[in-house]
Amino acid sequence: MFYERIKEWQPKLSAAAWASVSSADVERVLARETLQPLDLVVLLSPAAQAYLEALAKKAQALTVRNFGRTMGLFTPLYLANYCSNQCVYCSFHAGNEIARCKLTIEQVIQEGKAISSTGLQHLLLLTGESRLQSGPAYLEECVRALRPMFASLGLEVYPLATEEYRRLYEVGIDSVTLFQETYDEITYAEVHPAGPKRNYHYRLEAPERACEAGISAVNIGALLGLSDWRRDAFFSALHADYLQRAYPGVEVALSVPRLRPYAGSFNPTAAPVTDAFLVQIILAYRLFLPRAGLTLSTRENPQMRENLLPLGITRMSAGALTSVGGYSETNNVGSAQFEIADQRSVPEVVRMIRAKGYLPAFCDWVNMREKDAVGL
Amino acid sequence: MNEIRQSVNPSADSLLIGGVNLLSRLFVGTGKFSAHEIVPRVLAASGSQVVTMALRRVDWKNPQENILNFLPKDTILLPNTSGARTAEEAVRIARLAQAAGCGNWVKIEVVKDQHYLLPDNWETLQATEQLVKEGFVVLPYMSPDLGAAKRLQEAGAAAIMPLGAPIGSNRGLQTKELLRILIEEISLPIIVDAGLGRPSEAAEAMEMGAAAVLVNTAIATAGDPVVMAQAFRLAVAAGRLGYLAGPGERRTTAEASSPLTGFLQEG
Amino acid sequence: MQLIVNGEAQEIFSEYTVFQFLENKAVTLKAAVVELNGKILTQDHWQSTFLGPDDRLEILIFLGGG
Repeated sequence: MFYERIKEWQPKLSAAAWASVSSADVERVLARETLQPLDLVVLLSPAAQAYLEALAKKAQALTVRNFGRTMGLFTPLYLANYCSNQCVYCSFHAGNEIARCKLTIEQVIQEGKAISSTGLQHLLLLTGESRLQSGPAYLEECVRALRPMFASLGLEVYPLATEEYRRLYEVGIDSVTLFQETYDEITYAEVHPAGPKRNYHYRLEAPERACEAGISAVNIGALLGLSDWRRDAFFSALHADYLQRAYPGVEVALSVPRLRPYAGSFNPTAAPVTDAFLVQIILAYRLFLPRAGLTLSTRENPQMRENLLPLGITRMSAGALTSVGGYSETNNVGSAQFEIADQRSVPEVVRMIRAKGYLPAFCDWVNMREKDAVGL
Repeated sequence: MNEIRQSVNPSADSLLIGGVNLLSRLFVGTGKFSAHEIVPRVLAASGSQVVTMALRRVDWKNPQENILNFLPKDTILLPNTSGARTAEEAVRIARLAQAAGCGNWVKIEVVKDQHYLLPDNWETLQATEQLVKEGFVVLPYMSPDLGAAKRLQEAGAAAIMPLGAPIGSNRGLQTKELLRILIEEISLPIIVDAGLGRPSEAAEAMEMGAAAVLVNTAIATAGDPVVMAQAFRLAVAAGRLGYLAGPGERRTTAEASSPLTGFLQEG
Repeated sequence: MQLIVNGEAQEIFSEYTVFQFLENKAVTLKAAVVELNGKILTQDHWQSTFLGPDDRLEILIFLGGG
């Protein structure tokens, strides 16, 4: 289990260890083709900050070589925002007074049509954690309703059991996104004071369960800024590497969400993730895992997204909304999970991508699984 | 970095295979020598502990002396299954070799292709599975394919022996990229076998992280096999030390402009 | 009587043991391997195993190989 790796590395990643990395170490890693976890430590160290441009050049070259100059596009659809957790950093916190709602299947279809009309083919489905309001059966209904309209569907909800992942895979989910938020157990307990999400291990092992269940792709990462970002970035990448080795047939990707303003009053004690640090993380991920996907959400503002695009990103959201529904005119807009910093529409994002010399890829996966088998 | 990295100790560096801690990472083959008599001097010069040999029918017309008579007493014998074209034949040869009292190590070599002498990975896998069950220490010679190597690992092979280039070609590490992948992904010792033509190529394989190399043709057919054996011995040791020390850095040129990350400086 | 030895027909006198056959052929016995009718015959059985008509005998030794 991946937890063994965390236990193995946790004691090694002291402040002294990060500080002991020298420029010579960074240059050594820059010259290397295949990187080991120790090299990842070097890339995330303070010493590497002075080498961002050199790292960026290499990261860009690697990304272009492995992915071409393309940018995958997707958007999130929040199906419901009922939540039993009390994550201190999130708007959906059970104690927050926000407008709670859940889309009916008719509404789901309307949303799907609206999104589909923009040309987007990959849709990510999200809910808060509420098995009562948005349990696996509800998710399955939504997937069935949306499957005819999209080439591929992804799921970003609460951790599920292997059988539940298997069922959803059969019905039409190709990818599972699940962020550990933080790999640090102490911080994890602090920021998740109540609710099922308190179970650190169940969440940590969820991506493996999804892989066991036969899912085609997993997307993981930490919520940068919740805890010490160097450690969280290290473990995120190590986790991705672990999953890739254990499940060579699964496409593994990393996301780099940074804490954003939301309807709450949580102030993290960890050092903020500056733009320069975010760049360092992206470059470290790319160099350590040349063939992993790197996903950028609309938490970042337009300028930032444009600047990050050539540094190793392979997928980004476009025209996203984090409120429940909201894509079609007729649906109630439940409160948003976080503020969207990049509010550009799909055509605007597409223009931006083209202007940077990249090809927007609306579709790079088509679910061909037998529809008859699941009554579709 | 010393906080985290373990320091290197070359004198404690040994290769564990089949329960034996080998100090020499150069395996030597005994084929193609002009005469068996030269073999003991070659082995002394090479420092090798593991030696391969083939099982053949006695030729009444040209009787040759058993190669075993020319090997030092404590040599680890690694009979190969050369001549086998199927897994069944390889298994049979392995059992015969063991019956001769050679120990239980075996190099599986199954070649269907007589033109290039490339090993058949599928038959090799079948033979490995069977012989592991029978308690052999199995070292399969194979074409460097990651999927095949993984299966061999799962089957219980003691090491993986991918070819560097076709047997006897002396072309060096033609399969370098594939070898690199195996070294990266497979946790068993990777012993590059076949194709190494020069000491520098053996050094290169060791620098890449190979656990050992097997050399036959390059030594046996050299102008002076004894001196060549010594050269390979030094090369393997040098390559291994180079690997343990960690490759040197290349100075990156100073960046006058920062087109990719310049935006971080602005405002 | 006739045997097949290493794939070739051979005539021998009857009542030969494997051991006698090998001795007769001046085969160095150390680490020779014998297969009789598809089954491995270990050294300890050479003196007690008699050869019969149409037996298939394989006698192998180790030679140089890569």
